[in-house]
Amino acid sequence: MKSPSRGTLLEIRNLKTYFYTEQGIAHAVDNVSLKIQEGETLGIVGESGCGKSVTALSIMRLIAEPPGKIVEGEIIFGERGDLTKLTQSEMRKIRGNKISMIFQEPMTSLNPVFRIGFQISESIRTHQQVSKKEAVNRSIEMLKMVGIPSPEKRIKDYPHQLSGGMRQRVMIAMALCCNPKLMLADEPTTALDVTIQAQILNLMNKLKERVGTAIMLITHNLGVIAEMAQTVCVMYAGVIVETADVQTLFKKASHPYTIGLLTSIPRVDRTAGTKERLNTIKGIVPSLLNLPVGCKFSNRCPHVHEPCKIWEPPLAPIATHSDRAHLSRCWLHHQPPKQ
Amino acid sequence: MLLELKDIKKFFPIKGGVIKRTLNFLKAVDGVSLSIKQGETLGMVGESGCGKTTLGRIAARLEEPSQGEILFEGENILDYDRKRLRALRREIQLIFQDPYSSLNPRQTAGDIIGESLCIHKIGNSTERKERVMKLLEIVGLRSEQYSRYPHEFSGGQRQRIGIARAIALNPKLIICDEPVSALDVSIQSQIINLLEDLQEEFQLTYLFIAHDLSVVEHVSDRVAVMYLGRLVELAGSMDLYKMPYHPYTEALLSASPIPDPTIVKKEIILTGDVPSPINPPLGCHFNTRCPFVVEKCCREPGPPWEEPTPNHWVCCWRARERHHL
Repeated sequence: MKSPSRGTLLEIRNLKTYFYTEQGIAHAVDNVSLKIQEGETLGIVGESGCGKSVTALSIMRLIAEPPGKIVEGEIIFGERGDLTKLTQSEMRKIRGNKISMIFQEPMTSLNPVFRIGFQISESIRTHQQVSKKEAVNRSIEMLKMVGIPSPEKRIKDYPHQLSGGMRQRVMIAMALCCNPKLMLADEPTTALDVTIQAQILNLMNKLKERVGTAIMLITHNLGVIAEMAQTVCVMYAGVIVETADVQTLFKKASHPYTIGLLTSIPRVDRTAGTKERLNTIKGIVPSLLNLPVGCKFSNRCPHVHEPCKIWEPPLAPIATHSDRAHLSRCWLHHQPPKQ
Repeated sequence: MLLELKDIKKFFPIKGGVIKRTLNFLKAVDGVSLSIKQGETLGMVGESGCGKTTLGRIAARLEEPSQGEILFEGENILDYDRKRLRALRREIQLIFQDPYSSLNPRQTAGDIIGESLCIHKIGNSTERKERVMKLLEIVGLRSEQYSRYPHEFSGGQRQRIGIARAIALNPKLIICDEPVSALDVSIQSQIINLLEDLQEEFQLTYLFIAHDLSVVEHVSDRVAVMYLGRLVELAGSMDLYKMPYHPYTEALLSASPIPDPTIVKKEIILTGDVPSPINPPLGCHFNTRCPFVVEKCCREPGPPWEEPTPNHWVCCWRARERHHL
């Protein structure tokens, strides 16, 4: 299903973010390229250590240097150009304003010693020339928008007085208060109960429609991706291994890792009570300090053959698919170099 | 019947003030009755604070219930003295959620698995070592890893060590408290398969506690749904999925994301948060969030635990009416 053509809001080109540790260099993000269109939800899915969070933190320039460093690549954001070239002072004008972020653990991302009203107002007053009173009014409006009852009373609460779901709503209010063009959501519902997760995802979709924000949704949960994303990037060991629109990804998954993931999840609508053997991906995710030569998935792939152990495949459109937007990083889908 | 829990209640006193008087009670488990048959997997699902972990710990006698009876193979185990309780420990074992904090970082894998054999004086030192090596292989590790420490293993491997430890004494019942929640998706399926293989090979019975409905439904024969200290529904896995009777079960199923963008689910989004178990609502505990609440639901006593269709139990005043039973 083609979406109406919109502008590209953010483009990442060949991003490499490494961490220099005593045990060696961890290639956390090792050549990632992707595009987010205005108003769309891009899902980034992968397991721990695949580089999805580091990608988001690189966009926000929140990578601690040392030990981390954006070694190569460009992050082009609308009219601001390459974010990797901006100073911290210039980035501060963008964070919370044009690009905002919500994190997995709402308790540790909200400041426990300030009232939540203050934390939202602080964000507003940093980026907009408004009076204190005006900022308070806007905070109350935002809390109302995210569905917190009695917002005029709640602005005086401290984070510990709220439940996990409420705190996450506060985070979303803070993230949207300056009408950002892009919101990065890093595992926003993983720490929440499933019925609260449903509330928060529903809220994010409604707000997205209302405010027109694009969302980069990072999660390991393929079910959440299916519900929320329009386009999906699957990451493994620091690289993207497959990119497709959401319908194509689930119907025509092509990379062996994506297929492995999809077939190893118990599906309540398929296998309830059957105790069927689940498909598995043998082995474990390699350490980022010690990645295999060639394709990073080669030591676990059921289809591994010689070229896989020598050269890393490019992320490119699959030759046999007409959908040029469906990309895969696998020698099954491209011609390897001649030996 | 291997294990029977009869009207179990567990109240934690909340003390406060200068002289630490008891101010109130946290009703973690508020009257739960369950039986588990030999060889079956009973799944227990519910969100945080529903009491499922506390119930699991009570079943293993790691916690004492405030009220109620526990029968294991027909005998009341709450009456057991220290000696008989120690013997009971061989029959009921636990697998924990966090593979990082449930293994002693100062013990080798071999020591962790073999400790219970030592305590129960099983075999001599050589025989115990052999058994531990065998157990390592059974759970898919290499016997040479006997002398490695937990930090040298991955999360999934540590969970395998925890499983080996649990089966070391040939227990009859294993209580699995969120055994795969802390693991990556691609490792979860390996561990789920392992647990199922072990069940078949060693005729194990599982009480499988988790919050992920897809995982619970997959491994369980029957599933019990808990909310705020009480059971709200109990049925065979397939029945529960196809025809949930309780509004909370319906909401849980609707909220569980399915990895298929083409599936359109009935949307039931619950409003509000789970009430505190310190002050649960009067009457049906679910009445503050139930989309189908009527006046009767807010009055004591709570709805009866009934069986409108064979082997499908529910606790809801309106179940029969809403599902035309």
